[in-house]
Amino acid sequence: MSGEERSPASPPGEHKTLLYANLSDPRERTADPREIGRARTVARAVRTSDVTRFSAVFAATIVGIVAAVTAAFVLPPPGGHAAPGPLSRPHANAGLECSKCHKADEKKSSAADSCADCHGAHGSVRSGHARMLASRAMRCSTCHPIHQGDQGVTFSPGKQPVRFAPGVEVEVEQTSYFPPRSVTVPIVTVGACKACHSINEPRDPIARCLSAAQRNLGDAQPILCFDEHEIAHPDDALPTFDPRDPRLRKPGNPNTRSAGVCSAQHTTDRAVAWAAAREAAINVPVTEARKASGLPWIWLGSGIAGFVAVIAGVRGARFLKGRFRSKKPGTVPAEMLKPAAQKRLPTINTQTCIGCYACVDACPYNVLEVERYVAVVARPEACCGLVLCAQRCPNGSLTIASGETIGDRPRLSDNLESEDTPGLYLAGDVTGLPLIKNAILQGAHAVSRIFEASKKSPGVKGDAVDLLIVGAGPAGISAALRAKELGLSYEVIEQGTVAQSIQNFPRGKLVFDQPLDLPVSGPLWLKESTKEELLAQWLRIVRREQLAVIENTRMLGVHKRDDGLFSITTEPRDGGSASERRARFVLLAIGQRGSPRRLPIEIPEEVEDRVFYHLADARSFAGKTAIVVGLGDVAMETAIALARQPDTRVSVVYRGDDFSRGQGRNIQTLKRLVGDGKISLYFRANVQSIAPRHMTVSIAPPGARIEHLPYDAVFVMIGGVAPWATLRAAGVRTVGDGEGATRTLLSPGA
Amino acid sequence: MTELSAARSAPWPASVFDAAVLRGIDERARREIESAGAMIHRAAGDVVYRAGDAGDTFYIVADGKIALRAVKRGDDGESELRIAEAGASFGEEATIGAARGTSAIAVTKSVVAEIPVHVFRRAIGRAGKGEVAERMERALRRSATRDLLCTLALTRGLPAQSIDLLLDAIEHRSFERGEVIYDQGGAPLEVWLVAEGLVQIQTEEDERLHVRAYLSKGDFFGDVEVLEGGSRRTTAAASGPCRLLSIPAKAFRKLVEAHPDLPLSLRRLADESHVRQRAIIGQRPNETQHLFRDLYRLQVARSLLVIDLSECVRCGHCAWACEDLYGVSRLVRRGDKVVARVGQGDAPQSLLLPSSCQHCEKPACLVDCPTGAIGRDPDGEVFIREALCTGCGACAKACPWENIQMAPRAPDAPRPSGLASEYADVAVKCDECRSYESPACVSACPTGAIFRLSPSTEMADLAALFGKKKSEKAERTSSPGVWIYLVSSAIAAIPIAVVGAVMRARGVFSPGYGWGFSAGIVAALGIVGLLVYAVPKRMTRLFMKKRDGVRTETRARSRVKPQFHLHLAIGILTLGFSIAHAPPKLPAASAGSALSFSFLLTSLLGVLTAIAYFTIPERLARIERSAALPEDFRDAKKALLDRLYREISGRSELVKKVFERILLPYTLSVFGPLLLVLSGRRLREEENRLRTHIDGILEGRGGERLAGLSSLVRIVVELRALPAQRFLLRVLRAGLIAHIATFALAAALLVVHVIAAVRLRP
Repeated sequence: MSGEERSPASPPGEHKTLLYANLSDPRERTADPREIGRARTVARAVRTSDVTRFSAVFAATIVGIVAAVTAAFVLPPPGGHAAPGPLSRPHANAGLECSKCHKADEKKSSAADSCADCHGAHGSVRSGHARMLASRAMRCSTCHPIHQGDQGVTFSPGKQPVRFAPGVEVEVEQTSYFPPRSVTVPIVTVGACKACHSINEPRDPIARCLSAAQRNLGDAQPILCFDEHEIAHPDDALPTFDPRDPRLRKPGNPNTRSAGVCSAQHTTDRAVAWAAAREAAINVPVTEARKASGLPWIWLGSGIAGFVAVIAGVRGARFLKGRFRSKKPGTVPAEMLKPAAQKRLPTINTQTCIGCYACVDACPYNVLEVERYVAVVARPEACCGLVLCAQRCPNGSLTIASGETIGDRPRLSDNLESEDTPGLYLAGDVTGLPLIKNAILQGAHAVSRIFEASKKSPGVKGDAVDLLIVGAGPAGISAALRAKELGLSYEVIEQGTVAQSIQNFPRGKLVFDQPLDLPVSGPLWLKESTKEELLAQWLRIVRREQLAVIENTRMLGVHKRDDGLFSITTEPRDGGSASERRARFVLLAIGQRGSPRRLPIEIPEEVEDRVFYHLADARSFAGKTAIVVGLGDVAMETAIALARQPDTRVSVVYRGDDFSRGQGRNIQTLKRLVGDGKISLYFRANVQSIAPRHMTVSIAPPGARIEHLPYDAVFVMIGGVAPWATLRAAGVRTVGDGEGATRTLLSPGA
Repeated sequence: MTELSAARSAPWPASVFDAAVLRGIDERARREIESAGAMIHRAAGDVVYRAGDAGDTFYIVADGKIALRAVKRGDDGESELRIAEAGASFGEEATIGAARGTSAIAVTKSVVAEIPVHVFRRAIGRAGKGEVAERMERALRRSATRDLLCTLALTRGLPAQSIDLLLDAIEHRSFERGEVIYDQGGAPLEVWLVAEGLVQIQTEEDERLHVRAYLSKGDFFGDVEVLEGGSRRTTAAASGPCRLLSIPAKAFRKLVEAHPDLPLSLRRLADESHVRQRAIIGQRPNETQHLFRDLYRLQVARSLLVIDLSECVRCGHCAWACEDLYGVSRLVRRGDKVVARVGQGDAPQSLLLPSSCQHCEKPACLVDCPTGAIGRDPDGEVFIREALCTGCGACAKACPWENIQMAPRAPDAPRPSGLASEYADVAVKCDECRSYESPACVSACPTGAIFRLSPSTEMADLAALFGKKKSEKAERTSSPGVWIYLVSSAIAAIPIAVVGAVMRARGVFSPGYGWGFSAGIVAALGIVGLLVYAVPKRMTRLFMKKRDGVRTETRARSRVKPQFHLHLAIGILTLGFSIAHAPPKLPAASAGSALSFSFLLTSLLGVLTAIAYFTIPERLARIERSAALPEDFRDAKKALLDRLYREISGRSELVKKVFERILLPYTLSVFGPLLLVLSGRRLREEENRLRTHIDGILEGRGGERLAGLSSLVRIVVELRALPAQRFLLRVLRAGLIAHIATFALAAALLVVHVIAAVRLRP
């Protein structure tokens, strides 16, 4: 983007472009130092999502942990958490307590030592196993892991045999074995043997105990040899060992034997039982040693649920709170809706004023200035009485004094209804209360009141609408939005286009929201932004809500008919015949500026299209000769903007003999431009006449003369005419009119 | 040097207020000066300030003697210029914003009053004695200007007489950013010399701003038109606040008559500088344009907080740490992106400039503060003294980058006394954590992406432009640290997991005893270790070391980054041990298996998040033009749509048709953002691709009627990038919460499991 090819008009001898920036792109605009750095509103610290994103997470984590732990203890696995698994079926059926095996003195004797208490101390008869048993390298539980993998087949007289594994019970088909009593044949699984045996090695002695068909069962593969504890005859003494000291192998002890659970089952038919058990083990393979359980999911689930609940609860509550607050119709204090009855003027304690500009920046009308580091009231006549300055003063140096009663103010009730013509409402600047924000509030407020009033009076007759809104500025749009929301039938007539007063702001002007803690009710959007952003936003709202705005239609007059309806005469702006509209209520949101003040001379028809009352885009006047009449802020800004265009010649014509009004910044810039010869400034100059080619200006003494100034465009910026005439014609009287004014103004044609 | 203390001390001695500059001020002015200033005590031989220091204060000796020493021209060492005794002032060069020209050293045990210049100026201005300050400044300016003229190559050779003539004719003018010095087409009335600040020479054509030269201290401009006649051909505007010297055309012509070769050498100097600037900007136009657009900001910033977007994982821990420490985050992770080469590295980095004080060379906030609540350390840190802040907001309005915000004042916080109101608000801004060793945001960054730099010396292109010696301070050693951590822990963890799993499968290991049990204990300790990472990270005060005296020179480093890497390494090891301890499978009805499962789950989420952290930021940086927080996307989209509507209105039918046929479907494409992410193209590359596509369809038709198309292309590409950004951001930020939640489960089950194991084991 060095843009060499894009600088065709580089003047001879001048340097080529180093960098170019597309000024329509807001981010590239930073390359243009023309933006004024100083803001008028302060940024307030906000909590961004960076800061809030982990709020409640710590609490949620703690709650999640507690929930999971609680769930795990409330719903423990069978056998409790300490158990490595559930007890095997025979043990469970025997109703064993933990303490039966796990003795209090477990330090001295392992639970595995307790087996002999019931089963009798008979170990394996295989020499290898017996040796290991003796050395305690092997225990009963090595092959019979009671909690984890103890399998077997239980035969009961008159019942079907049951093949069991931890957590699994399957009835098997009747075998050839009909036990005379309950008999359980335990099945050892490969999992218990593989620590010593090579399972897949054909030469390993264990190979003869495995079924090749069950290889796929893995650790759950049953060992099909049952002669581990075999003795020659049931009556033979069982090989015994002292569980406390296995090295002392003792000869068979009948007492031990009779006490053992196993001895009762070592009967003559045991070979048949083994065969049946083998058959059952082969026929009913138990792959999953343990059945999947829902329990862990409950623990995990409750942990997650606790976590999510806290997060959702805290965030949801915050969201709802925010929503509730934003939905709640703000109770707007009356002083925010009606202008003050008396003139109010700031007074400044120079002994405490710190000269911080807070009041200067808060004032929308530049009433205040800072001189010698102390604020002064520079333009008391412009004070609107809103006293934003007093709210912003950081140390109370600025106080408000009340003055005389303001006359130029429509007589309004708290509902913004005219006290002289019921049914006629006012909103926006026309009420005497300035600021876009207030206009928005008033528009919505007035329509809410109209809605209440409309419920009391009869409905619409014929083609009349409920509400006719005159003017589509901030108040008018806000009112239309509220009317639509409330279901009133309405129409908005606008002599220009939507939000034209804002469209007429100079390009890029910052529209700023007053720093007030005041809820902007209704959907109309307002925050510090450029004119273009604000306008785009509003136009989008108008488009999206499909507001019934009739543009380019001027209101000629309003009067109240005998049937209580209002009759509004309108005409299209660009010619055409007048028409009549009827409405039950009328809301005048016509602004304060009304129409721009015109020059008190005749303007020939052929030059009318070259006489302007506002400057929308200075760029289109590049290379032209322009005359600006007036020297207020608007006039000065216009002259400056025009003078900044290439090859423009600008003259400023002003009646006064010096700069008397306007902001210091504008005055300085203008003086500089006059010094540079970009602007010619004529003081004490009165416009005599306008001809197609030139304007005649008489200049009062000293230096009295007549000038003929050529022009391509004339900008008349000598303020506006307050819309009092329109208001009076509509039957609205101002406070200054007094009580004695008659109501005849209301009659048609007045 | 003392820090200005806000503590109210005993009233100042009369000798201070009897000093010439303060004589006759009223009671209120005294009070203000007393509360904003400080009484400092120096033993014999102690330094008050040294030559070259920046300063916003001047001094009045209350008691004792202060020697002012400077290096005289031609000398090697400092020699004594004068001795300031009680009632005398020194250090007034601060009133014109110049650096200290002398060193001030106490000769005897002394007490001096330190007075902030801006408070003094206000106090004396209010008392109607502004001319005292003005006279003081005028004299100082004249000598400063003479110094400047004597150092410039152009005027150095002039005889003293010519310089004096010039000095008499010269007028001092100050300009704020954006003020126009002269307009294109205006009459050339004077020649300008930049004494301070940055001026740009520019023209504007068709909504496009063309910058033709950047001028800084010592540059002349506006001479060509004065000598050759005719109107101004360009506009000169102040890029930032600057102080200029204007030489009236007549005086300049007289000077040229006396020295006829002057115009030529002026031209040559200007051309040389232009060629140099063009070389710098033209070398990498795509990168440098970022910098030069924000030149003003980068020029005035002394210590700019930047976030390397290709490393930033958007966790927001920086802002969180700031809030944790101060109650209000002084850092908002929003802002513009610049692409710059930092330090010696040749690769350009995408840097975000978040809104955080950049400690300007000439702080606008400090000048505008009416009570002197904003001060500056000798090493340049700008800070706010709450005890003097009235919450008026003047500083926040003055800051061009909204880096100062107003926040509610904490109930127990210090506040100004003596006046009636409550002072509910206080201004807050970054002070680089001046009471700590290093800034919290930098210390808390888990990836070390955020750091401070001085743009005019540490950004290679700017250093070249300003002719400053490039500093390597910003060089960050691209630490191989994390990979060493990851690889070595993986090398250790994988065999552990494999051996453990195999042995357990063979029945040798069991979770309950022997090696299997030991692996379980190590894994449990590992989990505790992993959990511990979250604790110091979230306890900012724990890792913030209180500062003791002057901050050490070394660049602040992240303290959380090594912890983060350790966390990753411990995570990998713990995973290995947990697999060695128990098999990874769906949970069965025991706390142990549920623990194993939930730990696997949290490990998985952790690994995924880590992968996202290592891969996504770089991708995201490619499609970002400004960094946005998740809550900004809605407004960003609206703003883009508004711009789109504005741009399309008033364009030619052809552009509208192209928009309708190509750009609109491009924007509306559902899979577009995904394709953009997958393609890995930068926004600019995507724009070029789209533009090439359009040109291919048009086959060279259109020409003039395509005006405005490139802006539309930019906007639609950004519109496509927006959902992609949103998606990537979500991926980056979502994993962590799930990781925390599942970790909570693992922690809970670990508790249960350990209790059970303790009860089970003899």
